[in-house]
Amino acid sequence: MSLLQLAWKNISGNGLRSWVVALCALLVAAFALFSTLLLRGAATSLELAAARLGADIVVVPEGAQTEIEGALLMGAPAHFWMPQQNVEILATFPGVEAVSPQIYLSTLVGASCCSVSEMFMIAYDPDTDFTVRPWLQKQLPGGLGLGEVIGGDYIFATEGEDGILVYGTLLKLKGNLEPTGTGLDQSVFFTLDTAHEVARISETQAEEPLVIPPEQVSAVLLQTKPGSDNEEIAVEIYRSVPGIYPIQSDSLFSSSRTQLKSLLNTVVIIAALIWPLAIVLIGMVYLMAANERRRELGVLRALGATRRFVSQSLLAEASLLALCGASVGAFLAVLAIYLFRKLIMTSLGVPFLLPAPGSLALQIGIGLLLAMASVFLAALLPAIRISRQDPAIAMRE
Amino acid sequence: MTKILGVLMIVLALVLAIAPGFTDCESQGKTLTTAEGKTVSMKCHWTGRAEIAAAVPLGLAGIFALIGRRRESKRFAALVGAVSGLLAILFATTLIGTCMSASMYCNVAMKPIILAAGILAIVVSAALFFAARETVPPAA
Repeated sequence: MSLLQLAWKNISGNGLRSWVVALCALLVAAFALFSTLLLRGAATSLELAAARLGADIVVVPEGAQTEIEGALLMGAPAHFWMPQQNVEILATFPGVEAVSPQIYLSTLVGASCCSVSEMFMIAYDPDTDFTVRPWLQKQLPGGLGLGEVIGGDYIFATEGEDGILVYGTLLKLKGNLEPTGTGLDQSVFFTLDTAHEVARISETQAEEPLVIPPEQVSAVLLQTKPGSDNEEIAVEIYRSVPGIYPIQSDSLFSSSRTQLKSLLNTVVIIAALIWPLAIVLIGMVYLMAANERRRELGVLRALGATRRFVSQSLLAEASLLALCGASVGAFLAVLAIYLFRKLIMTSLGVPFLLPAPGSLALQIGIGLLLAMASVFLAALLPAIRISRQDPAIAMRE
Repeated sequence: MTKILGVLMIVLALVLAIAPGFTDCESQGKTLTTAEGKTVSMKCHWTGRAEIAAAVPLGLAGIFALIGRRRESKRFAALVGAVSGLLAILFATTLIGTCMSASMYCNVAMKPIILAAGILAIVVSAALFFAARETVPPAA
Protein backbone atom coordinates (compact mmCIF):
# COMPACT_ATOMS: atom_id res chain seq x y z
CA MET A 1 0.00 0.00 0.00
CA SER A 2 1.42 3.38 -0.98
CA LEU A 3 1.65 6.39 1.33
CA LEU A 4 -1.21 8.20 -0.42
CA GLN A 5 -3.48 5.12 -0.38
CA LEU A 6 -2.87 4.73 3.35
CA ALA A 7 -3.58 8.43 3.92
CA TRP A 8 -6.80 8.22 1.90
CA LYS A 9 -7.98 5.16 3.86
CA ASN A 10 -7.33 7.01 7.11
CA ILE A 11 -9.32 10.00 5.84
CA SER A 12 -12.36 7.93 4.83
CA GLY A 13 -12.05 5.84 8.01
CA ASN A 14 -12.68 8.82 10.32
CA GLY A 15 -15.27 11.13 8.82
CA LEU A 16 -15.69 13.60 11.68
CA ARG A 17 -11.98 14.25 12.16
CA SER A 18 -11.49 14.68 8.42
CA TRP A 19 -14.45 17.13 8.17
CA VAL A 20 -13.06 19.25 11.06
CA VAL A 21 -9.58 19.50 9.54
CA ALA A 22 -10.90 20.17 6.01
CA LEU A 23 -13.29 22.82 7.38
CA CYS A 24 -10.42 24.61 9.17
CA ALA A 25 -8.37 24.60 5.96
CA LEU A 26 -11.44 25.85 4.06
CA LEU A 27 -11.91 28.75 6.49
CA VAL A 28 -8.25 29.79 6.42
CA ALA A 29 -8.03 29.65 2.60
CA ALA A 30 -11.41 31.31 2.03
CA PHE A 31 -10.76 34.15 4.47
CA ALA A 32 -7.21 34.78 3.25
CA LEU A 33 -8.21 34.78 -0.40
CA PHE A 34 -11.42 36.77 0.05
CA SER A 35 -9.77 39.55 2.04
CA THR A 36 -6.72 39.72 -0.25
CA LEU A 37 -8.88 39.90 -3.38
CA LEU A 38 -11.13 42.52 -1.81
CA LEU A 39 -8.38 44.81 -0.56
CA ARG A 40 -6.20 44.54 -3.66
CA GLY A 41 -9.25 44.95 -5.94
CA ALA A 42 -10.32 48.09 -4.08
CA ALA A 43 -6.82 49.61 -4.14
CA THR A 44 -6.41 48.92 -7.89
CA SER A 45 -9.81 50.38 -8.60
CA LEU A 46 -9.08 53.61 -6.71
CA GLU A 47 -5.79 54.07 -8.57
CA LEU A 48 -7.50 53.44 -11.92
CA ALA A 49 -10.35 55.85 -11.17
CA ALA A 50 -7.93 58.63 -10.24
CA ALA A 51 -5.91 57.94 -13.40
CA ARG A 52 -9.00 57.92 -15.60
CA LEU A 53 -10.22 61.23 -14.23
CA GLY A 54 -7.10 62.75 -15.73
CA ALA A 55 -7.50 66.08 -13.93
CA ASP A 56 -5.08 67.52 -11.40
CA ILE A 57 -7.76 69.47 -9.56
CA VAL A 58 -11.56 69.03 -9.61
CA VAL A 59 -13.56 72.09 -8.63
CA VAL A 60 -17.08 71.52 -7.29
CA PRO A 61 -19.59 73.69 -5.44
CA GLU A 62 -18.78 73.95 -1.72
CA GLY A 63 -20.46 71.10 0.16
CA ALA A 64 -20.54 68.75 -2.86
CA GLN A 65 -17.24 67.01 -2.00
CA THR A 66 -18.86 63.82 -0.69
CA GLU A 67 -21.44 63.77 -3.46
CA ILE A 68 -18.83 63.84 -6.24
CA GLU A 69 -16.89 60.99 -4.61
CA GLY A 70 -20.09 58.95 -4.41
CA ALA A 71 -20.88 59.70 -8.05
CA LEU A 72 -17.43 58.87 -9.43
CA LEU A 73 -16.81 55.85 -7.22
CA MET A 74 -20.25 54.30 -6.78
CA GLY A 75 -22.21 55.77 -9.72
CA ALA A 76 -24.65 57.43 -7.31
CA PRO A 77 -26.50 60.20 -9.20
CA ALA A 78 -25.19 63.64 -8.25
CA HIS A 79 -26.93 66.98 -8.71
CA PHE A 80 -25.06 70.16 -7.92
CA TRP A 81 -24.56 73.39 -9.81
CA MET A 82 -22.32 76.43 -9.88
CA PRO A 83 -22.15 79.46 -12.18
CA GLN A 84 -20.56 78.85 -15.59
CA GLN A 85 -18.54 82.06 -15.23
CA ASN A 86 -16.31 80.15 -12.78
CA VAL A 87 -14.80 78.36 -15.80
CA GLU A 88 -13.34 81.64 -17.13
CA ILE A 89 -12.28 82.75 -13.64
CA LEU A 90 -10.46 79.46 -12.95
CA ALA A 91 -8.63 79.63 -16.29
CA THR A 92 -6.94 82.88 -15.21
CA PHE A 93 -5.19 81.39 -12.19
CA PRO A 94 -1.41 81.11 -12.55
CA GLY A 95 -0.27 77.52 -13.00
CA VAL A 96 -3.54 76.38 -14.61
CA GLU A 97 -2.97 75.00 -18.09
CA ALA A 98 -6.45 73.84 -19.12
CA VAL A 99 -10.00 74.02 -17.75
CA SER A 100 -13.03 72.06 -18.84
CA PRO A 101 -16.60 72.12 -17.45
CA GLN A 102 -18.76 69.06 -16.90
CA ILE A 103 -22.47 68.64 -16.18
CA TYR A 104 -23.68 65.73 -14.05
CA LEU A 105 -27.15 64.35 -14.76
CA SER A 106 -29.12 61.19 -14.03
CA THR A 107 -32.02 59.29 -15.53
CA LEU A 108 -35.41 58.92 -13.86
CA VAL A 109 -36.33 55.98 -11.62
CA GLY A 110 -38.70 53.38 -13.09
CA ALA A 111 -39.85 55.58 -15.96
CA SER A 112 -40.55 54.14 -19.41
CA CYS A 113 -38.83 57.14 -21.06
CA CYS A 114 -35.47 55.95 -19.62
CA SER A 115 -34.25 52.45 -20.38
CA VAL A 116 -31.93 52.48 -17.36
CA SER A 117 -33.01 53.85 -13.96
CA GLU A 118 -30.83 56.25 -11.95
CA MET A 119 -27.97 56.11 -14.44
CA PHE A 120 -25.22 58.66 -13.80
CA MET A 121 -24.56 60.74 -16.93
CA ILE A 122 -21.59 63.01 -17.56
CA ALA A 123 -21.81 65.74 -20.19
CA TYR A 124 -18.49 67.25 -21.28
CA ASP A 125 -17.41 70.12 -23.49
CA PRO A 126 -15.62 68.55 -26.50
CA ASP A 127 -13.81 71.83 -27.30
CA THR A 128 -12.00 72.09 -23.98
CA ASP A 129 -12.16 68.49 -22.69
CA PHE A 130 -8.91 66.79 -21.74
CA THR A 131 -10.31 63.99 -19.54
CA VAL A 132 -12.84 62.00 -21.62
CA ARG A 133 -11.28 62.44 -25.06
CA PRO A 134 -8.03 60.55 -24.35
CA TRP A 135 -10.03 57.35 -23.61
CA LEU A 136 -12.04 57.79 -26.83
CA GLN A 137 -8.97 58.13 -29.05
CA LYS A 138 -8.72 54.39 -29.73
CA GLN A 139 -12.41 53.67 -30.37
CA LEU A 140 -13.65 57.01 -31.72
CA PRO A 141 -10.88 59.18 -33.11
CA GLY A 142 -13.48 61.70 -34.30
CA GLY A 143 -15.07 62.00 -30.84
CA LEU A 144 -18.77 61.83 -30.07
CA GLY A 145 -21.34 63.54 -32.24
CA LEU A 146 -24.81 64.85 -31.42
CA GLY A 147 -27.02 62.04 -30.06
CA GLU A 148 -24.06 59.70 -29.48
CA VAL A 149 -22.87 58.31 -26.16
CA ILE A 150 -20.09 56.13 -24.87
CA GLY A 151 -20.84 53.94 -21.87
CA GLY A 152 -18.95 52.42 -19.00
CA ASP A 153 -18.28 48.70 -18.96
CA TYR A 154 -21.78 47.83 -17.62
CA ILE A 155 -23.79 49.90 -20.09
CA PHE A 156 -25.68 47.89 -22.70
CA ALA A 157 -27.93 48.91 -25.58
CA THR A 158 -31.69 48.38 -25.14
CA GLU A 159 -32.91 45.05 -26.54
CA GLY A 160 -33.60 45.35 -30.26
CA GLU A 161 -31.98 48.81 -30.48
CA ASP A 162 -28.44 50.07 -30.91
CA GLY A 163 -28.76 52.69 -28.23
CA ILE A 164 -30.26 53.58 -24.88
CA LEU A 165 -33.38 55.58 -24.18
CA VAL A 166 -32.71 58.68 -22.09
CA TYR A 167 -35.63 61.01 -21.30
CA GLY A 168 -37.45 59.83 -24.45
CA THR A 169 -34.41 60.27 -26.74
CA LEU A 170 -32.71 57.20 -28.19
CA LEU A 171 -28.99 57.90 -27.87
CA LYS A 172 -26.66 55.80 -30.00
CA LEU A 173 -24.23 53.74 -27.92
CA LYS A 174 -20.92 54.06 -29.77
CA GLY A 175 -18.90 51.78 -27.50
CA ASN A 176 -17.86 50.87 -23.99
CA LEU A 177 -14.87 51.90 -21.93
CA GLU A 178 -12.51 49.52 -20.13
CA PRO A 179 -13.73 48.53 -16.64
CA THR A 180 -12.50 50.48 -13.61
CA GLY A 181 -14.58 48.83 -10.91
CA THR A 182 -16.03 52.23 -9.98
CA GLY A 183 -19.29 54.05 -10.67
CA LEU A 184 -17.80 55.18 -13.99
CA ASP A 185 -18.56 51.65 -15.26
CA GLN A 186 -22.30 52.36 -14.81
CA SER A 187 -22.20 55.85 -16.34
CA VAL A 188 -22.55 57.29 -19.83
CA PHE A 189 -20.65 60.17 -21.37
CA PHE A 190 -21.92 62.59 -24.03
CA THR A 191 -21.29 66.13 -25.18
CA LEU A 192 -22.94 69.24 -23.74
CA ASP A 193 -24.83 69.68 -27.04
CA THR A 194 -26.35 66.19 -26.64
CA ALA A 195 -27.32 67.02 -23.04
CA HIS A 196 -29.14 70.19 -24.12
CA GLU A 197 -30.82 68.32 -27.02
CA VAL A 198 -32.05 65.59 -24.62
CA ALA A 199 -33.32 68.31 -22.25
CA ARG A 200 -35.22 69.99 -25.11
CA ILE A 201 -36.84 66.73 -26.31
CA SER A 202 -37.64 65.62 -22.74
CA GLU A 203 -40.13 68.47 -22.36
CA THR A 204 -42.53 66.59 -24.65
CA GLN A 205 -41.24 62.99 -24.64
CA ALA A 206 -40.44 62.19 -21.00
CA GLU A 207 -42.49 61.64 -17.87
CA GLU A 208 -40.48 64.46 -16.29
CA PRO A 209 -38.34 66.98 -18.21
CA LEU A 210 -34.56 66.97 -17.83
CA VAL A 211 -33.68 70.28 -16.23
CA ILE A 212 -30.30 71.88 -16.94
CA PRO A 213 -30.19 75.30 -15.28
CA PRO A 214 -29.00 77.96 -17.78
CA GLU A 215 -25.42 79.19 -17.43
CA GLN A 216 -24.64 76.55 -14.80
CA VAL A 217 -22.16 73.66 -14.69
CA SER A 218 -21.64 70.86 -12.14
CA ALA A 219 -17.85 70.76 -11.95
CA VAL A 220 -14.76 72.23 -13.56
CA LEU A 221 -11.75 70.02 -14.18
CA LEU A 222 -8.33 71.66 -14.11
CA GLN A 223 -5.05 70.57 -15.59
CA THR A 224 -2.03 72.30 -14.10
CA LYS A 225 1.25 73.16 -15.78
CA PRO A 226 4.06 70.63 -15.27
CA GLY A 227 6.05 71.43 -12.15
CA SER A 228 3.26 73.47 -10.55
CA ASP A 229 2.36 73.04 -6.91
CA ASN A 230 -1.23 71.74 -7.07
CA GLU A 231 -1.81 72.30 -3.36
CA GLU A 232 -0.80 75.93 -3.65
CA ILE A 233 -3.10 76.45 -6.65
CA ALA A 234 -6.01 74.74 -4.84
CA VAL A 235 -5.53 76.90 -1.74
CA GLU A 236 -5.36 80.04 -3.87
CA ILE A 237 -8.58 79.09 -5.71
CA TYR A 238 -10.37 78.37 -2.43
CA ARG A 239 -9.30 81.76 -1.01
CA SER A 240 -10.18 83.78 -4.11
CA VAL A 241 -13.44 82.29 -5.43
CA PRO A 242 -16.35 82.00 -3.00
CA GLY A 243 -18.81 79.08 -3.05
CA ILE A 244 -16.50 76.54 -4.66
CA TYR A 245 -14.22 73.81 -3.34
CA PRO A 246 -11.12 72.60 -5.22
CA ILE A 247 -10.18 68.94 -4.66
CA GLN A 248 -6.72 67.72 -5.63
CA SER A 249 -6.83 64.38 -7.48
CA ASP A 250 -4.55 62.83 -4.79
CA SER A 251 -7.13 63.54 -2.09
CA LEU A 252 -10.24 63.06 -4.25
CA PHE A 253 -11.05 59.63 -2.91
CA SER A 254 -9.71 60.28 0.58
CA SER A 255 -12.82 58.95 2.38
CA SER A 256 -12.61 55.69 0.41
CA ARG A 257 -8.90 55.41 1.15
CA THR A 258 -9.64 55.91 4.87
CA GLN A 259 -12.41 53.30 4.64
CA LEU A 260 -9.97 50.92 2.95
CA LYS A 261 -7.37 51.47 5.66
CA SER A 262 -9.85 50.67 8.44
CA LEU A 263 -11.00 47.61 6.47
CA LEU A 264 -7.38 46.44 6.23
CA ASN A 265 -6.96 46.85 9.99
CA THR A 266 -10.13 44.80 10.64
CA VAL A 267 -8.94 42.05 8.29
CA VAL A 268 -5.54 41.91 9.98
CA ILE A 269 -7.17 41.61 13.42
CA ILE A 270 -9.57 38.84 12.27
CA ALA A 271 -6.72 36.99 10.52
CA ALA A 272 -4.61 37.29 13.67
CA LEU A 273 -7.43 35.57 15.56
CA ILE A 274 -8.52 32.96 13.00
CA TRP A 275 -5.13 31.70 11.85
CA PRO A 276 -3.61 30.66 15.21
CA LEU A 277 -7.00 29.31 16.34
CA ALA A 278 -7.25 27.10 13.25
CA ILE A 279 -3.69 25.83 13.77
CA VAL A 280 -4.35 25.06 17.45
CA LEU A 281 -7.65 23.29 16.62
CA ILE A 282 -6.07 21.15 13.88
CA GLY A 283 -3.12 20.42 16.17
CA MET A 284 -5.47 19.23 18.92
CA VAL A 285 -7.45 17.08 16.47
CA TYR A 286 -4.23 15.39 15.31
CA LEU A 287 -2.92 15.00 18.83
CA MET A 288 -6.15 13.17 19.78
CA ALA A 289 -6.04 11.15 16.55
CA ALA A 290 -2.43 10.17 17.18
CA ASN A 291 -3.28 9.01 20.71
CA GLU A 292 -6.30 7.03 19.44
CA ARG A 293 -4.18 5.34 16.81
CA ARG A 294 -1.20 4.41 18.98
CA ARG A 295 -1.89 0.67 18.65
CA GLU A 296 -2.62 0.85 14.95
CA LEU A 297 0.59 2.77 14.27
CA GLY A 298 2.46 0.42 16.61
CA VAL A 299 1.34 -2.53 14.46
CA LEU A 300 2.48 -0.66 11.40
CA ARG A 301 5.92 -0.15 12.96
CA ALA A 302 6.04 -3.85 14.01
CA LEU A 303 5.30 -4.86 10.41
CA GLY A 304 8.42 -3.03 9.30
CA ALA A 305 7.27 0.52 8.63
CA THR A 306 9.96 3.06 9.41
CA ARG A 307 9.46 6.06 11.73
CA ARG A 308 9.71 8.26 8.69
CA PHE A 309 6.90 6.31 6.93
CA VAL A 310 4.59 6.63 9.98
CA SER A 311 5.10 10.39 10.35
CA GLN A 312 4.86 10.85 6.59
CA SER A 313 1.52 8.96 6.47
CA LEU A 314 0.06 11.36 9.05
CA LEU A 315 1.44 14.41 7.25
CA ALA A 316 0.20 13.11 3.88
CA GLU A 317 -3.26 12.68 5.39
CA ALA A 318 -3.17 16.25 6.75
CA SER A 319 -1.91 17.64 3.44
CA LEU A 320 -4.62 15.84 1.43
CA LEU A 321 -7.34 17.16 3.73
CA ALA A 322 -5.85 20.66 3.61
CA LEU A 323 -5.72 20.57 -0.19
CA CYS A 324 -9.38 19.45 -0.46
CA GLY A 325 -10.63 21.95 2.14
CA ALA A 326 -8.54 24.83 0.82
CA SER A 327 -9.60 24.15 -2.80
CA VAL A 328 -13.28 24.32 -1.82
CA GLY A 329 -12.55 27.44 0.26
CA ALA A 330 -10.76 29.11 -2.67
CA PHE A 331 -13.65 28.22 -5.01
CA LEU A 332 -16.22 29.69 -2.58
CA ALA A 333 -14.14 32.85 -2.00
CA VAL A 334 -13.70 33.51 -5.74
CA LEU A 335 -17.40 32.74 -6.41
CA ALA A 336 -18.52 35.06 -3.60
CA ILE A 337 -16.24 37.92 -4.60
CA TYR A 338 -17.13 37.57 -8.30
CA LEU A 339 -20.91 37.40 -7.80
CA PHE A 340 -21.34 39.71 -4.82
CA ARG A 341 -18.77 42.37 -5.71
CA LYS A 342 -21.42 45.03 -6.32
CA LEU A 343 -23.18 44.26 -3.03
CA ILE A 344 -19.82 44.44 -1.23
CA MET A 345 -19.00 47.73 -2.99
CA THR A 346 -22.33 49.23 -1.95
CA SER A 347 -22.19 47.92 1.63
CA LEU A 348 -18.57 48.88 2.33
CA GLY A 349 -18.53 52.02 0.18
CA VAL A 350 -15.35 51.06 -1.64
CA PRO A 351 -14.89 50.42 -5.38
CA PHE A 352 -13.70 47.06 -6.57
CA LEU A 353 -12.06 45.67 -9.69
CA LEU A 354 -11.51 41.97 -10.32
CA PRO A 355 -7.84 41.13 -10.82
CA ALA A 356 -6.46 39.87 -14.13
CA PRO A 357 -6.53 36.03 -14.54
CA GLY A 358 -2.77 35.71 -13.93
CA SER A 359 -2.90 37.72 -10.71
CA LEU A 360 -6.04 35.81 -9.61
CA ALA A 361 -4.30 32.45 -10.17
CA LEU A 362 -1.30 33.66 -8.16
CA GLN A 363 -3.50 34.79 -5.27
CA ILE A 364 -5.40 31.47 -5.31
CA GLY A 365 -2.06 29.64 -5.23
CA ILE A 366 -0.92 31.70 -2.22
CA GLY A 367 -4.23 31.03 -0.43
CA LEU A 368 -3.89 27.27 -1.00
CA LEU A 369 -0.28 27.28 0.15
CA LEU A 370 -1.15 29.23 3.30
CA ALA A 371 -3.93 26.77 4.24
CA MET A 372 -1.75 23.74 3.49
CA ALA A 373 1.15 25.21 5.46
CA SER A 374 -1.16 25.86 8.43
CA VAL A 375 -2.44 22.27 8.48
CA PHE A 376 1.06 20.85 7.91
CA LEU A 377 2.43 22.96 10.76
CA ALA A 378 -0.37 21.84 13.08
CA ALA A 379 0.05 18.14 12.26
CA LEU A 380 3.87 18.17 12.40
CA LEU A 381 4.29 17.88 16.18
CA PRO A 382 1.78 15.00 16.69
CA ALA A 383 3.29 13.19 13.67
CA ILE A 384 6.84 13.40 15.06
CA ARG A 385 5.66 12.41 18.54
CA ILE A 386 3.77 9.32 17.39
CA SER A 387 6.58 8.15 15.12
CA ARG A 388 8.99 8.13 18.08
CA GLN A 389 6.95 5.82 20.29
CA ASP A 390 8.13 2.30 21.00
CA PRO A 391 5.99 -0.15 18.93
CA ALA A 392 6.03 -2.84 21.66
CA ILE A 393 4.70 -0.42 24.33
CA ALA A 394 2.16 1.05 21.94
CA MET A 395 0.77 -2.41 21.01
CA ARG A 396 0.55 -3.46 24.66
CA GLU A 397 -1.54 -0.38 25.61
CA MET B 1 -22.22 12.05 2.83
CA THR B 2 -25.30 11.85 0.55
CA LYS B 3 -27.49 12.94 3.46
CA ILE B 4 -25.40 16.10 3.96
CA LEU B 5 -25.63 16.79 0.23
CA GLY B 6 -29.41 16.23 0.36
CA VAL B 7 -29.75 18.77 3.19
CA LEU B 8 -27.60 21.25 1.22
CA MET B 9 -29.90 20.83 -1.82
CA ILE B 10 -32.96 21.55 0.33
CA VAL B 11 -31.29 24.67 1.79
CA LEU B 12 -30.38 25.89 -1.72
CA ALA B 13 -33.96 25.26 -2.89
CA LEU B 14 -35.28 27.36 0.01
CA VAL B 15 -32.83 30.15 -0.86
CA LEU B 16 -33.96 30.09 -4.52
CA ALA B 17 -37.63 30.14 -3.56
CA ILE B 18 -37.50 32.76 -0.79
CA ALA B 19 -34.55 35.14 -1.41
CA PRO B 20 -35.80 36.73 -4.70
CA GLY B 21 -38.98 37.87 -2.94
CA PHE B 22 -36.87 40.08 -0.65
CA THR B 23 -34.21 41.20 -3.12
CA ASP B 24 -36.06 42.11 -6.34
CA CYS B 25 -36.64 45.78 -7.23
CA GLU B 26 -40.31 45.60 -6.25
CA SER B 27 -39.36 44.60 -2.71
CA GLN B 28 -37.37 47.88 -2.58
CA GLY B 29 -40.45 49.81 -3.66
CA LYS B 30 -39.39 50.25 -7.27
CA THR B 31 -41.85 49.61 -10.11
CA LEU B 32 -42.11 50.69 -13.73
CA THR B 33 -44.47 53.53 -14.65
CA THR B 34 -45.81 53.40 -18.22
CA ALA B 35 -46.52 56.44 -20.36
CA GLU B 36 -50.22 55.99 -19.47
CA GLY B 37 -49.32 56.28 -15.80
CA LYS B 38 -49.88 52.61 -14.96
CA THR B 39 -47.58 50.86 -12.50
CA VAL B 40 -46.22 47.50 -13.60
CA SER B 41 -43.68 45.09 -12.10
CA MET B 42 -40.19 45.03 -13.58
CA LYS B 43 -38.90 41.82 -15.13
CA CYS B 44 -36.74 40.92 -12.15
CA HIS B 45 -39.97 40.36 -10.23
CA TRP B 46 -41.07 37.71 -12.77
CA THR B 47 -37.63 36.09 -12.62
CA GLY B 48 -38.12 35.82 -8.86
CA ARG B 49 -41.46 34.09 -9.39
CA ALA B 50 -39.99 31.73 -12.01
CA GLU B 51 -37.24 30.68 -9.59
CA ILE B 52 -39.91 28.87 -7.56
CA ALA B 53 -40.31 26.54 -10.56
CA ALA B 54 -36.61 25.67 -10.28
CA ALA B 55 -36.64 25.51 -6.48
CA VAL B 56 -39.45 22.93 -6.19
CA PRO B 57 -37.73 20.11 -8.16
CA LEU B 58 -34.42 20.97 -6.46
CA GLY B 59 -36.04 20.63 -3.03
CA LEU B 60 -37.70 17.34 -4.03
CA ALA B 61 -34.35 16.07 -5.32
CA GLY B 62 -32.83 16.97 -1.96
CA ILE B 63 -35.54 14.98 -0.15
CA PHE B 64 -34.91 11.99 -2.47
CA ALA B 65 -31.18 12.21 -1.73
CA LEU B 66 -31.99 12.28 1.97
CA ILE B 67 -34.39 9.33 2.10
CA GLY B 68 -33.45 7.35 -1.00
CA ARG B 69 -31.63 4.04 -0.55
CA ARG B 70 -30.96 2.88 -4.08
CA ARG B 71 -27.97 4.27 -5.92
CA GLU B 72 -30.08 4.84 -9.06
CA SER B 73 -32.64 6.98 -7.21
CA LYS B 74 -29.86 9.12 -5.68
CA ARG B 75 -28.25 9.54 -9.08
CA PHE B 76 -31.61 10.50 -10.59
CA ALA B 77 -32.06 13.06 -7.79
CA ALA B 78 -28.58 14.40 -8.64
CA LEU B 79 -29.56 14.84 -12.29
CA VAL B 80 -32.80 16.62 -11.35
CA GLY B 81 -30.83 18.86 -8.96
CA ALA B 82 -28.28 19.78 -11.64
CA VAL B 83 -30.98 20.59 -14.21
CA SER B 84 -32.85 22.69 -11.62
CA GLY B 85 -29.65 24.60 -10.79
CA LEU B 86 -29.04 25.25 -14.49
CA LEU B 87 -32.65 26.37 -14.96
CA ALA B 88 -32.33 28.78 -12.02
CA ILE B 89 -29.26 30.35 -13.66
CA LEU B 90 -30.93 30.54 -17.09
CA PHE B 91 -34.06 32.24 -15.68
CA ALA B 92 -31.94 35.03 -14.22
CA THR B 93 -29.62 35.43 -17.21
CA THR B 94 -31.14 34.54 -20.57
CA LEU B 95 -34.73 33.23 -20.27
CA ILE B 96 -36.16 36.22 -18.38
CA GLY B 97 -33.25 38.23 -17.01
CA THR B 98 -33.11 41.17 -14.63
CA CYS B 99 -33.36 44.97 -14.93
CA MET B 100 -30.99 46.77 -17.32
CA SER B 101 -29.14 49.02 -14.90
CA ALA B 102 -26.24 47.27 -13.20
CA SER B 103 -26.75 49.42 -10.11
CA MET B 104 -30.34 48.30 -9.49
CA TYR B 105 -30.94 46.17 -6.41
CA CYS B 106 -31.96 43.07 -8.38
CA ASN B 107 -28.56 43.10 -10.12
CA VAL B 108 -26.69 43.89 -6.92
CA ALA B 109 -28.36 41.30 -4.67
CA MET B 110 -31.00 39.07 -6.31
CA LYS B 111 -29.08 37.94 -9.38
CA PRO B 112 -25.85 37.07 -7.49
CA ILE B 113 -27.84 35.08 -4.91
CA ILE B 114 -29.62 33.12 -7.67
CA LEU B 115 -26.39 32.52 -9.60
CA ALA B 116 -24.54 31.42 -6.46
CA ALA B 117 -27.39 29.09 -5.45
CA GLY B 118 -27.63 27.71 -9.02
CA ILE B 119 -23.88 27.07 -9.30
CA LEU B 120 -23.75 25.46 -5.85
CA ALA B 121 -26.81 23.32 -6.72
CA ILE B 122 -24.95 22.00 -9.79
CA VAL B 123 -21.75 21.36 -7.80
CA VAL B 124 -23.63 19.65 -4.95
CA SER B 125 -25.61 17.55 -7.46
CA ALA B 126 -22.39 16.49 -9.18
CA ALA B 127 -20.94 15.50 -5.80
CA LEU B 128 -24.13 13.55 -5.02
CA PHE B 129 -23.92 11.75 -8.37
CA PHE B 130 -20.40 10.51 -7.67
CA ALA B 131 -20.90 9.88 -3.95
CA ALA B 132 -24.16 7.91 -4.43
CA ARG B 133 -23.84 4.42 -2.92
CA GLU B 134 -26.36 1.71 -2.20
CA THR B 135 -27.61 2.09 1.39
CA VAL B 136 -28.12 -1.31 2.95
CA PRO B 137 -31.21 -1.27 5.19
CA PRO B 138 -30.56 -2.38 8.77
CA ALA B 139 -31.37 -6.05 9.42
CA ALA B 140 -34.77 -6.62 11.05
